[in-house]
Amino acid sequence: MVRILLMLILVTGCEVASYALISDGHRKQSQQMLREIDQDALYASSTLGRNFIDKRVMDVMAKVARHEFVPAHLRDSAYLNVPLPIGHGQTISQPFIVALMTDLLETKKGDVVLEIGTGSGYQAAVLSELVKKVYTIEVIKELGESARVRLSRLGYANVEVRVADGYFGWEERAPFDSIIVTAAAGHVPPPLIRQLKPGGRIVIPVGGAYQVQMLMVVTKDASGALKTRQVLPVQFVPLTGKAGQ
Amino acid sequence: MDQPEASQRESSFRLNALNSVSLFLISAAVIVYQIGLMRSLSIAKYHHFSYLVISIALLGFGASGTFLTFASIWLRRNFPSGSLMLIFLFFVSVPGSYLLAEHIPLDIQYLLYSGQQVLLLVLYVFLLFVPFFFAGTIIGLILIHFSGNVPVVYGLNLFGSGAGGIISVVALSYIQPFDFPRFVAAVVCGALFAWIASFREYLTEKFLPLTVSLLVSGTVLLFLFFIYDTGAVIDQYKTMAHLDRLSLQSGAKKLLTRSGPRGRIDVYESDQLHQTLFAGLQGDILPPRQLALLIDGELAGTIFKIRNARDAAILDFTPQSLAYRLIDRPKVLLLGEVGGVNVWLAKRFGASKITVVQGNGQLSGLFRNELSGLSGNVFMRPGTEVVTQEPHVYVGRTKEKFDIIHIVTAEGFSTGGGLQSLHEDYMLTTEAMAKCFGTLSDRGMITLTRGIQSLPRDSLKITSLFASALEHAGVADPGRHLLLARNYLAVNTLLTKQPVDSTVISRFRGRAAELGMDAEYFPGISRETDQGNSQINRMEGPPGAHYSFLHYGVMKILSGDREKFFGEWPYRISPPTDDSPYFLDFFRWRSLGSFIETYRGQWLQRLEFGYVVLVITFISAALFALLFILAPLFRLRTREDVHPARLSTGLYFLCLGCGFMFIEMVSIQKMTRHLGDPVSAATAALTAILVFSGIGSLIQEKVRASPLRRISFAGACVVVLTVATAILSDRLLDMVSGYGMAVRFIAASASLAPLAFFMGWMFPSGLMMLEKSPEHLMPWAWGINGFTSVLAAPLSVMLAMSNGFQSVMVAAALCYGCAVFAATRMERALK
Repeated sequence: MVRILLMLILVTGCEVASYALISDGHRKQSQQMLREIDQDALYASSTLGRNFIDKRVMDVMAKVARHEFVPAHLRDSAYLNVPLPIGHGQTISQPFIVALMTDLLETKKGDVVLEIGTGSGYQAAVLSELVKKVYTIEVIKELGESARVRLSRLGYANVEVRVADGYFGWEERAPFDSIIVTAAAGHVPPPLIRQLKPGGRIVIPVGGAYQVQMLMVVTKDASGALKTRQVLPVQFVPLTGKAGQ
Repeated sequence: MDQPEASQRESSFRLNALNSVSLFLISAAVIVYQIGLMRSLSIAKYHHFSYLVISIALLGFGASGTFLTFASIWLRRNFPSGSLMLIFLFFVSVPGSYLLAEHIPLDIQYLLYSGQQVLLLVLYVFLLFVPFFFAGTIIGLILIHFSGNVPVVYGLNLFGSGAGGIISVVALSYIQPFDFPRFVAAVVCGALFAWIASFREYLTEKFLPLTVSLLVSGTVLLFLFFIYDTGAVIDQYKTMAHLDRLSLQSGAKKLLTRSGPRGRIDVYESDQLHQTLFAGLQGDILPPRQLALLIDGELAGTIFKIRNARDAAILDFTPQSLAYRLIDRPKVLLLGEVGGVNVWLAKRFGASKITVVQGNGQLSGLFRNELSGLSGNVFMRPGTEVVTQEPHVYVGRTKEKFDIIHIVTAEGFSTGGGLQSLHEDYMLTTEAMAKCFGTLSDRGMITLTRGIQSLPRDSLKITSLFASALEHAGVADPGRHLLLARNYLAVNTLLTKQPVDSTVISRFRGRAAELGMDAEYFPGISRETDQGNSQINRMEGPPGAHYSFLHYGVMKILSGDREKFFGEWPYRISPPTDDSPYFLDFFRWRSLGSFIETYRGQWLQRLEFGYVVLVITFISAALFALLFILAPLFRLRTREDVHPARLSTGLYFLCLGCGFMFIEMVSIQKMTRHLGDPVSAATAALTAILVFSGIGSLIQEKVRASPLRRISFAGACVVVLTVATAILSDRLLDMVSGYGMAVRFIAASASLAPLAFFMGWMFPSGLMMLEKSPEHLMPWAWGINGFTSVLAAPLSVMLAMSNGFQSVMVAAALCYGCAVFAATRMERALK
């Protein structure tokens, strides 16, 4: 028993030490990434309606260790403002797009958010720092399971991962204050609209697979009426997995 | 007399039936390999790899000329062993390089961000280059060695290439492209055996060890190639790869796979397919269970797995349904329908008759047989007729009138940076659309739906295309025939036969509102009252304006400022024509700087960069060609024996390389219009040019005149015939447009015959002028010809996209004229 306990302490200690060490090593890169996100927001101001990303979101972007969510051989590139491959034909999104989509959700601390397309779990980790609960769905089994382990290991206790087809949402956990789809969809799935609370919003890239999609915000007013707004063109992998711009 | 020449004359190695067969097989094999590689990379990777293969093949041939310049003395001295080794290396490299290339971990999506990926791509290109290099070297060496029989050797090479084109098209129906390398290896192995049999000294003591070792290792390797699986690795980002991944976790099931010259067809069934054809947010119901129809690994159509039209209720919410809501019991023409979804749509709205026109006969066959039950027998129901023909050919031939012409071929999301822009689309041209207009009944309308964009381009180009087609058909005020509405996904554009009146406008607005669509244009629209802040689906618009850029653009196109607007808009949205049928080409150089400045990290997503890819291909080809072909050749300048004919020889073969490729590329592109099917077009054009050039090559030798006189005569004929073909061939071929495929194929091939015949005179006559020249001039000519061919392929497409086919043909005529001039200088210098 004591031996097991010692081993657990040793393993946990090593992981924490390694995490802290890598975090220090990546701090400068992370700061550069934040500067680039700021600049991208400035250049995209004509379509965003403002020239900055919410400070709450930027603080979280600075806090979440992105290098934990990329394959080991790409850790040095983790904080570049570009998408990166995570295997299975899927990607981890460009940091600017993660920040932008998070910002567009206009979350509040007590919100319950649904994410479609877990991928590596990075977007869920960012959201978990801003809301009460994140439910996230991934269709590729290996990705979903590794994201669940990763998020748990990194202490994101308010994130729940499910392996399923995200098109149908998560009926048992509905309704949601907002829904974020981080994969290209041909349209807004009707089940997601039904699972969205009145006053809520969906942020979703709509368009063909492996083509340029349009990032859209769908709002549902108190009466349930829907309106859409185009934000900007993006490029995501299909709704069978996680996305990257 | 120099030594190699002496050795040739003394050698018993002469051109005979067996080595002629060998040369023919090698020439055929390299073309079959090239076409197989293009098809296999289109499936496993992406369509733009086809362009890469063309450049790589030409580069291989060009580099072989350079290699021969340096190595020809040794190779001619050791011709029996050298030629045998080269054929063997070609044999090994065909499957060998393909297998190695397939195992390179290329990640296409990350080329822009990873230096390592760029290096891997270079390695990939190099591996694909190797077989073409060996093929070019052996053909060039044979040409040089048998310099007294240039017309026969050149003719055999052209005949072999022509035969290779036909064989590959036939073979694609029976053999998977991934298996081509091993079959090509078998053909080259046959060529190796024929080569050995052609020269009895291979069995003498001097050559016996080499002969036996190559025979044994060739046989063993061929056996290994056939037992080793050469199946390709499908790129992880392709739809097929996704569905295969889902299959592994029981989320999808592959139902069938078929191979054909027009592409590989795969059909998958999955509960995770949810296509709705742009249904709006009002469509609060789930789409039915469906199948995905993939062509070359990408989604080409959706098949609803339903029994009757009642189960396709989701289609009532599509923007495509707008036309059906305006016309009762319409007679419908579906141009390019693939999976049958639009047939269900037409049936739901009570179409009196549905005609489906679809160019891929293999698909039609599948829906009649294997897919019939799975698709609810959608194409075989009463009142539905299926015509297997290219849509643009059909609208030019039919005498029927239709109430709704639904252009399904153009339906889809925007490609965005799409390499599709390099494809000719003869359906979306002013001429084809004017023919569609003529096919409409008095109450009829054309309907076309495209995914929404910011900034808009597809829909603006459709508006400009419709306006130009209406003007082409003699309509004075196109604006009175157009209606545009959009939901959050797509824009539906309607072109009406009759000017729309207030009743139609009222119905249009009402039905659009029911579908949650914003009306973007109708005659008499007011920005103040109709384009106010009530947009359901808000789109980006001019600063401070409450209307969208789409509305702004449409109004400009329909105003007197159209040309000025075309000049100002960041995308190319002027209407495509049959002379430059590139609907999806939106790129404009002048916008590049402002896109980078305005959108910074997102500029690539905003830019339609298909044309840029072509430019990059051209620049890379130029760099590689410089590195492997021209730079080594120019090193010869440092030698003491620089011949005065060197410059004029280079110029002559440069002009021939350019002129020949220009005519070949334009012929392929233009034949697509007449034959419809691009594969038939390529086969007809390539076969006609290669075979008739081969005949020309053989005939010119019989003409009792000096090579220069033959060049002058043939050059003049080529110039005249090029101009005549550019002006007259379309009109002549239009006369047979009503006939079947066989007649049109023969007519298309025959239309190129006179031009190709005289083109075939130029190359061998030029080489014959060099017969008595210093030995390095012939490989120099071969290399320069290869160099320009590499560059001329992408250059001709670039010219066609920006200036039209006529301009490329004019450039080709200039090249041949210039070649005649260079030939006169060459003769003077050689004397």
